[in-house]
Amino acid sequence: MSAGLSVPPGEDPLRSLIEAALAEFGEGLRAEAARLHHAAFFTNSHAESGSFANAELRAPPGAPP
Amino acid sequence: MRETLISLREAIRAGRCSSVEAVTQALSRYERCRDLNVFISLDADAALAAARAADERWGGSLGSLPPLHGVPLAHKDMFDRQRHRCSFGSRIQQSMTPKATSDCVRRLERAGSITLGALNMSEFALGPTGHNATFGHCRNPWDPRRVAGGSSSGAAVAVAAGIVHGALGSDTGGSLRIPAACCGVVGLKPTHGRISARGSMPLAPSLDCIGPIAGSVADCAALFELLVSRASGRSSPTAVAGGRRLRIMYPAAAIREAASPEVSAALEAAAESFRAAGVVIEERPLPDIERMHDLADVVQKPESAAVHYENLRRFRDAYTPHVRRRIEAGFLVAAPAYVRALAERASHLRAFVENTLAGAAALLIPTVGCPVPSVEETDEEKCGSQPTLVARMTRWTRWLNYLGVPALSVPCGFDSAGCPIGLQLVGRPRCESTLFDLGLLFQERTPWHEQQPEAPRIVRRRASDE
Repeated sequence: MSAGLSVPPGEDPLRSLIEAALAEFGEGLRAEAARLHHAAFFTNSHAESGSFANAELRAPPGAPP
Repeated sequence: MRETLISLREAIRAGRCSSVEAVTQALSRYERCRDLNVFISLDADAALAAARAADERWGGSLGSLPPLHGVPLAHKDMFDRQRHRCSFGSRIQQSMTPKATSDCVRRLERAGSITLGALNMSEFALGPTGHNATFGHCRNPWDPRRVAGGSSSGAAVAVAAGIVHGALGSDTGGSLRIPAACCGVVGLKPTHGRISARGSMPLAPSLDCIGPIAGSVADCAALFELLVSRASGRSSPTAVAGGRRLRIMYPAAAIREAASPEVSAALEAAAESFRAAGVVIEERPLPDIERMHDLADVVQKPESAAVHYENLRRFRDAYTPHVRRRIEAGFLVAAPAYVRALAERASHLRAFVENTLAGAAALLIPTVGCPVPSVEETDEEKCGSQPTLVARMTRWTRWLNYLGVPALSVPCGFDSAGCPIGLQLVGRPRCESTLFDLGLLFQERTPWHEQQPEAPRIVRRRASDE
């Protein structure tokens, strides 16, 4: 996910921290991030509970013209 | 009969016990169980000086005395106290000396309490075992080979061992309720925002709660009332409210499926005690607590990373590796994931109040669903990071921080190894008084809160451990 940052390497302290963390904890950290990412995006319970009434665009039925 | 906060307060007010005697007794109890590693810093001389001043002020005029006049307390080492070092359980912060006192400690000190010192905790309040690599692991007074529970480990142990009868802790995913359950004492995670967090260490501000730990529900309620601006008054506990019998939701099937047999049996017995007291117990399925547990994680990780950003830049190597790892995972959570997790919160809360609690005063579930683990099997410095252990210990607590609702942990039995088991009463936002009423009703009919580990047993177990 750090690949999405647009600041050049070496000039961004956050990027340096992320790189240090990934160098130390490697795949375990990536796997945890993927799990959290999945929890936020890949379940549909919010659709059932209507939780995004004012926080998400309502999708039109079918494909756009 | 176990001494309580209320009985000690009354004894001091009536002149049957001086504040100096109360503080001296607390220090002597601490001396008898030093191996439990309760304090990070102890201010014995300052506490005795404050006690002498309190005794000089007493003079027998009860009307002018504040409610906790001369009563010794101690608090987790994450609440600022003016001119006292505050470590947050970390060697990074241990030289920090705050300029002002946190709101919650100030309220209790203005109520006349005397602060003995700062209690042990997990580094930066991260970790449900109570381990601390810098200041030493805090140990369970019922069996020092077992964890105290965390992160408010010292607060629960100090109360369980009878050193003090009340302490402040914090709860971001169960950090106050888990040690309370593991040590056989009472802990309240109030409604999010109900007790001021000003001057206390942040971990994840959307989830952080400050709350009291005490030996009984009555003591816990007495502390809570001093900590909030407007506490609604409690009547004497009764199973009837407004002419209707109180109702508790009890998800028996889900508990049998996910908790250990001994915890399930203790919860079943607790439900029976409520039934016998006239409360209606209604079985109803739980909401999707795994999902809320995960969403709490999605919220907590980036908030903790943001809180620790500056410290990590400057002192990254001074963090214990497993603590650093937990915080740094937050740097990899995408902002849209965090926003979605927060946005979903309101609808889950609405569903919990309108569906899970429909027609009921509270939900009855375990605090910790597994046996209290040993210090050895949970030492992350030796055994590596243990995400499964963290998830297992926080399974029944963390989702409630996501919802922000109040939850009261009350002792409800012991397992076959002699360690305490705790139940949680979970209520609607700002309905702490209902939980206290139900907790009082339970403790009027059960003996669990009157049990106390014997100091000689602590010494003997510790000696045999070495």
